[in-house]
Amino acid sequence: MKLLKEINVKSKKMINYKIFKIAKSKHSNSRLESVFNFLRLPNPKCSQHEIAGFVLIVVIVSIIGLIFLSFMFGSGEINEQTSVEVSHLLGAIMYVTTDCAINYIPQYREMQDLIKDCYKDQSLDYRDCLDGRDVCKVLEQELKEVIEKGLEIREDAPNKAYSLDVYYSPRDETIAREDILLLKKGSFMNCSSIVGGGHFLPVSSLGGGNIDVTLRVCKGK
Amino acid sequence: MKTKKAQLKIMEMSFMLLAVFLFFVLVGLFGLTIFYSNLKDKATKIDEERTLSALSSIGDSPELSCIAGKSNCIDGDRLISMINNKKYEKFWPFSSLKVIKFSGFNKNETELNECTFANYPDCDLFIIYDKKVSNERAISSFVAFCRKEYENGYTYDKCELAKIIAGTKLKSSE
Repeated sequence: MKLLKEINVKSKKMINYKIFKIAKSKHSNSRLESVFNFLRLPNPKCSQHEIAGFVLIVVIVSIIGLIFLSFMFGSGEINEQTSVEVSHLLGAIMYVTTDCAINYIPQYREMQDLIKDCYKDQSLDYRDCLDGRDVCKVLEQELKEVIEKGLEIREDAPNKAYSLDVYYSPRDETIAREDILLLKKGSFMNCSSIVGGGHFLPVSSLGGGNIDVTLRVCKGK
Repeated sequence: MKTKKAQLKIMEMSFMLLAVFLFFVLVGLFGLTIFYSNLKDKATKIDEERTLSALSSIGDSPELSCIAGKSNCIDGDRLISMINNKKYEKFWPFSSLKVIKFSGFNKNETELNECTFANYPDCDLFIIYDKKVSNERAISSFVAFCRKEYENGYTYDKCELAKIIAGTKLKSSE
């Protein structure tokens, strides 16, 4: 093994010497000489160090690159944006006249009134439509029909799924919110984006809190 | 001899630095390309939302707004008097303006029953005007559509969901 190493070193020295001789013998100019100097084989230990250093730099640069790329794409979460279309839809839905009258016919309740009535109904102030139907059941049925027909929710349509959340938010933030209604259709898996909007209804003029209505829509690919 | 070796080392180091610098420049360029492509998407979205806002302002215009002071609401009884009115072609910056009632949702264009004085309110589509341009892009927004109804000796506002559709002529370069 030692002998092999010695032969290797000797042969390298010989090659270097020969290159040097050639450069001298051919009346080379200084530029050519520098090229030959560059071609001269370095000491094996030194080159090993250099290779190791080079590999180390490459590894460090790769790690930095990977971290940078993971920051750019790594989050993987679909960004949720507020949409004017969804906000307009919610705003318009609030004015829709339902077929539920509470006091007399034809004083049919608007959707926003029915939401408030449903909240009051859940707060043990029972309210029913004149035809005997439960206000919350009518609200659920009417909202479902309007949203699903308005947004055309289908697996193969641009709007794949939706979720509508109606809840009471008290003015005092330490008190938990009260859920009034939750409607869902379709799956929020594989959405290209999620758009949403909100609308709030004051429960009373005395500042008792708001009823928030939020709608999220999953856009298909 | 030592000086030459040092020169070689410096050369190696400079090549290495150049390579690292080029690598980061390429990564930076890659990042910038992605950032600017997102910027373009955002610009398109803002542009669309601006058109949508213009549409909602139509709903609040005195020609169409509901009497009850509801925002983003169209009065059907006013709307019927405006159908096929050429005067409004130059009033709004759209190539066409239509309103589809809730009964017309999920229907094909051929299935829609166009509103006239004769069939109102049992119809689906109000055409305020249509310049019939060939290269048109339509943007729609939801509005409330209200009209007066009469029942049991009382009149009341009956509102439903509707879509206002505005067409804008696309430039030839697009």
